Amino acid sequence: MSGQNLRDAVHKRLSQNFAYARIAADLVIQETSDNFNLILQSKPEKIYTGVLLTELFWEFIGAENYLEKIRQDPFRSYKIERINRHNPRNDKTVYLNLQLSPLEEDDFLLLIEDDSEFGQLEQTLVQERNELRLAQQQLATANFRLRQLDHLKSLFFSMAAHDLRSPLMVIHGYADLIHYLVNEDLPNELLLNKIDANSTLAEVNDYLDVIRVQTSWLENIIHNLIDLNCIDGDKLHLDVVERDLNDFVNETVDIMRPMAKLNTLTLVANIPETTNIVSIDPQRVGQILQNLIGNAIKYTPEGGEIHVTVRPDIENGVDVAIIDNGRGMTETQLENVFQLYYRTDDARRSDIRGSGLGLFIVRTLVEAHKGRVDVKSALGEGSAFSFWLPYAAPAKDT
Amino acid sequence: MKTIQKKVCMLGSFAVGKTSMVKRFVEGRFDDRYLSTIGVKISRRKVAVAEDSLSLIVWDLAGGDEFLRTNTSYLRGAAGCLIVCDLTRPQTVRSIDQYAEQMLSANPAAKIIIVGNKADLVDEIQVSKEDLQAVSQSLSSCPVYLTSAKSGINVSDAFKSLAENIINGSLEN
Ligand SMILES: Nc1nc2c(ncn2[C@@H]2O[C@H](COP(=O)(O)OP(=O)(O)OP(=O)(O)O)[C@@H](O)[C@H]2O)c(=O)[nH]1
Ligand SMILES: Nc1ncnc2c1ncn2[C@@H]1O[C@H](COP(=O)(O)OP(=O)(O)OP(=O)(O)O)[C@@H](O)[C@H]1O
Ligand SMILES: [Mg+2]
Ligand SMILES: [Mg+2]
Repeated sequence: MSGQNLRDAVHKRLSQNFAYARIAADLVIQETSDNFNLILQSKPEKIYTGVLLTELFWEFIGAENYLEKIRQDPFRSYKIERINRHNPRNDKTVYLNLQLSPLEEDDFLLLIEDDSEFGQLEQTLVQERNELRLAQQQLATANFRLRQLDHLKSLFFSMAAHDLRSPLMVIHGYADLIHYLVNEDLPNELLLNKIDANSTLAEVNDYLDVIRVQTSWLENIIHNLIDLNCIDGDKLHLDVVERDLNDFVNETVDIMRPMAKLNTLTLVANIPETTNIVSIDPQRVGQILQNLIGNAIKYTPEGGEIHVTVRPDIENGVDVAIIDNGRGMTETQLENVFQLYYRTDDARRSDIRGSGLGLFIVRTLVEAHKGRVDVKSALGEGSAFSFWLPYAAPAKDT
Repeated sequence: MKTIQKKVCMLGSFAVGKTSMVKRFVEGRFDDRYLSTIGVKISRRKVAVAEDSLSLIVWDLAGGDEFLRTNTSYLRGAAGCLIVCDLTRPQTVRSIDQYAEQMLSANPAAKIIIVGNKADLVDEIQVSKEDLQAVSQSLSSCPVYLTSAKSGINVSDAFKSLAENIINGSLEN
């Protein structure tokens, strides 16, 4: 091959990947190589001479001062690798390498290399690596969350077990007392008390009251646990019947009254005359009321008052408010009060038992009935929890 | 009114949403697909700041991780940057410092904005604004934005804030 032929062959080869242009000191393009438009994927008739370099390649904007330095130093050049250009014809990315170096007579030489083949290969590799690392990170996060949840669950079960034990101990103790009172084989120290049959009967009745209260409280805790399990597993199912909410509230308040009495609290129900027919799962709405009244009893000091008020005809539904004049809560405590496992610091420090389950279950159950919960409270003054349920369809006619 | 052109860079770990933020800002679009960037993709958009109109030349760069640093030649002449992290991936917060350091050693006067992106993924968020503000403390309390390239929330505010800081910075000098 002759020298000329070799030069032509190399030139042909290079021109598939390289284009060049001469740029003046003021960064205006002076002349371009034949394949310039081809490499830039632009129309053949487009003319670039006279165009400002920074208009064609925004990549050079901001580097003007640096380019001025390069122009005066033949050993320096400015390189930008892998600039992305969209090729509208095949919707692929074209990767170009740019290099600007000083040329004689104050000009620059701009060399453009089409590096798409390698660029696309590198893109595939980087894509795979990043997706793998992303999956790795997601796994690590999921794993961490599971461990946290697991920890929370075991913590919760030890608290729940604790909660179940204390009413059981009370029941056990009072059952023993009754046993002694009604049986012949009483220990000597208790024989003295057995003189008057009437007083014994009164005592037995008192003890039975305590046992009844503790049993219904135990029931409440167990129902909470069962409900939590249903909510957790998304299997909450309502057995709905139409009922007058007035009767229902009355009944529940009656069940809770002995408990209020034991704590020297007054429990009052304010029920309207008109009926309030709602579609409810009675066991679940019982849960809601027992939790709210139970909290009012737990968190109101001796001598306090609790009002359970049914307010009819609110936005085509009925509202039940449980209002106490107990310890109340701060704004920040109120924001968290319906969260699972949340208890105020005061409650945690006190010897009032609880797992922070009740209100979470209340909200979930009310929402399952298409209702909503609300709370207002002031520290040291009292709290008003309420829930609203829609009337059973068709709309209630008065 | 005069138009000034300024180069700014998108920095941050891979897949935090740098490309998506630029696409939202410049084209008003969002794409769920992830296509990792290699090298640099440049876009331009004008932002009005007080009397001036500032043309931001946005350099969208490839995101790295603990092992990969941004090629410094890409940072030359930048007036500022958005350092983006993914609010659902705490790992991406840890590299903010490194990116800031790289930017400032290339351009000591560069303005920095910290961006927590993917704010729409409410259930998966693991990084709070306070966490990012704690990081910004050691970076002369640079502004912090929580954005979503998906919903578009706060995206142009973050860019606008960068533009304002750049203009105010150049007035000081
Ligand atoms: N939900 C949600 N997804 C987003 C958001 N921003 C980006 N994504 C998604 O996150 C993935 C990564 O987004 P990119 O914009 O490509 O991330 P990048 O930071 O440019 O990634 P590299 O180029 O690899 O550094 C894509 O699947 C996007 O659709 C957002 O605000 N919300
Ligand atoms: N009527 C109220 N007055 C003051 N504080 C209350 C009242 N009701 C609830 N709280 C506060 O809200 C917290 C959460 O209540 P919740 O019913 O969820 O849990 P708990 O009563 O502590 O435990 P559990 O109901 O599982 O036995 C309580 O720990 C208490 O601090
Ligand atoms: Mg409770
Ligand atoms: Mg990208």
